[in-house]
Amino acid sequence: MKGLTIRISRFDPENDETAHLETYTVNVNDGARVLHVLHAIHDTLDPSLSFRYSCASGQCGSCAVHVNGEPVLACLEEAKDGMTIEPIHLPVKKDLIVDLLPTLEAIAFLLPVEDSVLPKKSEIDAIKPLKDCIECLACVSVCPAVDVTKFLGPTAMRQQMRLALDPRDSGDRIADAVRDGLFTCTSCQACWKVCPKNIEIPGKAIEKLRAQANTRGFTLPRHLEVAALVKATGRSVPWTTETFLEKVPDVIEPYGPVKATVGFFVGCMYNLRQVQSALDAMEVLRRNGIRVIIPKEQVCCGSPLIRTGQLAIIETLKKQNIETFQSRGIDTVLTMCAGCGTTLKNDYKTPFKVIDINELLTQYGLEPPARLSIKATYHDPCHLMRGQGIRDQPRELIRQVVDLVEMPSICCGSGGGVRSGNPEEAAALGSRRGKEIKKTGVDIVISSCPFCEFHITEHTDKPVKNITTVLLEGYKEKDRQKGTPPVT
Amino acid sequence: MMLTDDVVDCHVVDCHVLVTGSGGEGIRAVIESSQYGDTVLVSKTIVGKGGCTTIAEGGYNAVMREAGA
Repeated sequence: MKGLTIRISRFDPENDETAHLETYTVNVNDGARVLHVLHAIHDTLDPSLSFRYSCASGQCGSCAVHVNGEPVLACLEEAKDGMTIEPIHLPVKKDLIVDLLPTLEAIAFLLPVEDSVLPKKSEIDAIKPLKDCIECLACVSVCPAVDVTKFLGPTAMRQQMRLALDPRDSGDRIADAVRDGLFTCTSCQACWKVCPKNIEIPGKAIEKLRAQANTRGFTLPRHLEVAALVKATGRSVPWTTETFLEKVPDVIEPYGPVKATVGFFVGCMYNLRQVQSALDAMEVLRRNGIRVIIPKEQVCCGSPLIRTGQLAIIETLKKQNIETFQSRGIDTVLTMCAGCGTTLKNDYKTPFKVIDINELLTQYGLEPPARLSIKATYHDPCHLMRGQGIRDQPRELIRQVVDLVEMPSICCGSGGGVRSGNPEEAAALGSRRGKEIKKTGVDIVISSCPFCEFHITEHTDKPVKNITTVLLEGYKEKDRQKGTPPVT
Repeated sequence: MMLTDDVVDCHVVDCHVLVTGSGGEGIRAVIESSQYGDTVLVSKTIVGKGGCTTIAEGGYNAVMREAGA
């Protein structure tokens, strides 16, 4: 047995205006799950505590709650001392019980075709990754689009795709998915990462539905424009000024001994819109012994097209990018755009290793910059934190140069074609991000994704900087303190 | 039959038949008994979500003959 002190959100609609946290200390067996703790409190301390559960074995999806802000199944999650248990983000009926019914009822049922035949093995295999949902609604609880639009939610889309693949179903699943908010998904991947059944809803349902929607003429006009631009120019951003690729030589040598050689994949945004951030990154790499090869024939990675279901020229883009780096014998390709990084890592099959700049700089050890006397917060790019699992490395770098004040990791609303296709939704999510930034009381916002940096700038009065720009400022301060003339 | 998801603390409901459990057996019992009188079903989760029936992987136990009931 062990004693645990935990906090639980309590709310009785008959007596309370808002929910409040209450602290309980209970004894439970070693290895106890959150559900065991709830039972122990209910049975020994407070029989009025309300929570929902049924199978207690991770199969019925009744007991999803937030533990320390993350949705989990209470029956599977190990109970830890000091944890905070709250209801998932749906209307609360009492304590930890939320109103699941409207969301569950919105999940489509199979509409049988006449004279249906059994699915073929290939069809069953295609359905398989989408069929294990237990409808716990953890995905709905973390979905940013659900918060600000009428999107029915990730699992509703999962079910539409699952039915679209089933020959026994007669519904028009693509039209229904579009009606129910298919294009509001920001591709933030939060739904997938909290799913207790690990169902890859963004890639296996939403992008697939969008691809079918594309063949039916449902693609949003702005997304079609982006696809036309990529087809015509190889880039998803229009040419306005001298590009990064035009400014830099084919090879950038470091100042000191070479620790590593990488090929650099710049991406459309840093090549055309935030050129200075990419130039700052090159300077940081030079100071840290990284030799950078920059093939000029590289083109858009295809992410804006894959996320919006426009697959017609994807294989051409992939082939050109892979051949461009492979032909120079490059074995490691460096990305600094979170979107390009996740695409090269997850949507490509590359004959070379792909590494993000935060991974690279922490792996080879960073020349210590001077500390800047400012406070900063860090915005986790979805395609870096969830797409590539990179959460600690940027923080490790940032803490070397400024004081870091954390804020919750939520989507800024710029991804998945939402900024171009649904600007009102993107603005609503951006504004929510702006409020979180304000709460931290920091001087600057740091991120590591051009889309996030560009979008958040519109929703905060604080400067938004790329992580390498801040590191470079730390180096410039170091040079100033030492009296070293700046390198030109 | 009316389905609700109401959280009820202290509420007296009169009925002729009380069924506990919303798996296949409970639901079938409610369907049958509701034809003859007021029936209340009590479930610890939403009807259709809980019980063994929805998570059974193809195996069901059922009474096939009266002698087995």
